[in-house]
Amino acid sequence: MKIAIAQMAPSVGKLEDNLEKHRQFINRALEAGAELVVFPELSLTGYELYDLVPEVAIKEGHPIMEELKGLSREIPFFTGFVLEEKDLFFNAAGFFKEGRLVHTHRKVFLPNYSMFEEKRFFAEGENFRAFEDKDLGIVGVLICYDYLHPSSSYLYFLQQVDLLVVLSASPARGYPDKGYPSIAMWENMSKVVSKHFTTYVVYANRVGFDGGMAFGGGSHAYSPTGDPLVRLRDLEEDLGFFEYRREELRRARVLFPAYRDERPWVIYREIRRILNEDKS
Amino acid sequence: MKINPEIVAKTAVNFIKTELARIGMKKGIVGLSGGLDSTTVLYLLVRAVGPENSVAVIMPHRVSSPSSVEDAMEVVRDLGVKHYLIDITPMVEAYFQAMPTEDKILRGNKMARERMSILYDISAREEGLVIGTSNKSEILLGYGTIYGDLASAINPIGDLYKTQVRALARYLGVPDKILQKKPSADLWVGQTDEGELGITYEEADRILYELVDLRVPPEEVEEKYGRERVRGILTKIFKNHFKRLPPQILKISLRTVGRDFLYSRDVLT
Repeated sequence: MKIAIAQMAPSVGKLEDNLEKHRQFINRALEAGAELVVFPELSLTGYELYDLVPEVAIKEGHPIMEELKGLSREIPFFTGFVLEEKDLFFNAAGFFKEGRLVHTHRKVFLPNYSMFEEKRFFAEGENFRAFEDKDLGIVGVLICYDYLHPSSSYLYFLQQVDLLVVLSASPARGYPDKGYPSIAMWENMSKVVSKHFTTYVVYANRVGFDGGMAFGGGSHAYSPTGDPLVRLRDLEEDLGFFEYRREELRRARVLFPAYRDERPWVIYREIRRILNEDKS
Repeated sequence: MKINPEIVAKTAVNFIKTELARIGMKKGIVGLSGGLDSTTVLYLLVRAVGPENSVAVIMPHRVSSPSSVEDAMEVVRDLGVKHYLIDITPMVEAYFQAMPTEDKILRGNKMARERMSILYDISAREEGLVIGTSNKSEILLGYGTIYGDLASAINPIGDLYKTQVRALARYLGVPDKILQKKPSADLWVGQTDEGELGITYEEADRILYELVDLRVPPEEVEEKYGRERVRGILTKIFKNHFKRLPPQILKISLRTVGRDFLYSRDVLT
């Protein structure tokens, strides 16, 4: 199965324009014979939203939500948007397929340091629920900073995910030598997570500019043996593909039985002990 | 703090292109002094939008060094960009006839603001965006005139220290003569940045990089570079902080511009 990574540059607050860009990437992916497209974090809305959050949020019944569902009749895709639920606003990733919003992940780790102020504008997600899809197998979804906490990937590992989908809007930063250090950071993460949790990883980062921040791109995919499958360009819009071969998962897990050897109850007991410890 | 100039140039060129397209303008306007920063920005602008959409404005005063105008003109010819050569002596001196002073700072600030005023006028005439040329060293040290040379619409080199701008300039093919020039605001005869700041850019940039980018505790930086030196820099950074901010607005309402009325620079209807 061919999976496409759509490394797009959204514009802040321009939902119609960004939706049109989704259509264009989807058409190119279809022409290339892809069967799934992964878009970056907040690809529908842009990243630097601040007070725009309630204005760009969509919920069930919103015309743009319906358009996204319609689009998924052509090809299933993951995309990033602002989800409104009971007057709360989430930085969300949705899996749209066959005219339905099949699965939603709400970002759990909202960065609030350095250039990031997400906690001020978004409500926090509360879970990491893997879901099963007949074509993809077991899938876990993470959004950007979620992925920098290895505990998130670990929770999906315990749910035996076959495919970890990461949607990201990561600004390029740090004076670049070979490349921007922030771009290399994500690749290092994927190398480790894919191999040690024996899962496919697909990481879709955005490009373009919001308020002087240059988003880095460098989207990529890794195999369950920790090998790089595709690497998109830095700093420019790009479309890349990789082959998702579920039989590779079995081979990787025969080679390295990480899941079999995992001892989650020990981890669970130790976490409880650590959290209950009187630190005063 | 070494940079890969190719990657930085690519980021900066994309930035200029994207922002001009968003605002719906084709042209960029650069105040060209013949020094390193403005020449570098003009080279970036030409890469982004071509010489036909790049406008250089050369604005000497009679105290400016004659070589500055010559070097600027050479850059204009090399790059094939449109230019304006406007002598600011009559406007500036008309004001100082009414308000006489020999204070170099007052005179220098007036010149910097006269140039800003011309740049924004040309920006409107040419329907172009004023591209800023202040580097990170100057912005942090506050070595610039508020609403003067610090004013611009977008600034592609404001997060690069002076020494990094030089590396970028070398990569872009800025002439040697300009690369090797002693940095100067050229606001009075014999003025140099390093003379006025009392420290070389090499040293100032190292100290700034450790304090600002790496957030090394000041005491540790002092041990390495000397207490006087580091304290001097810290004082400059915070004494001039106001130059980096929009005006303070007294908060009365529930939503105050700049505090809780927050939108991206890139929100355009």
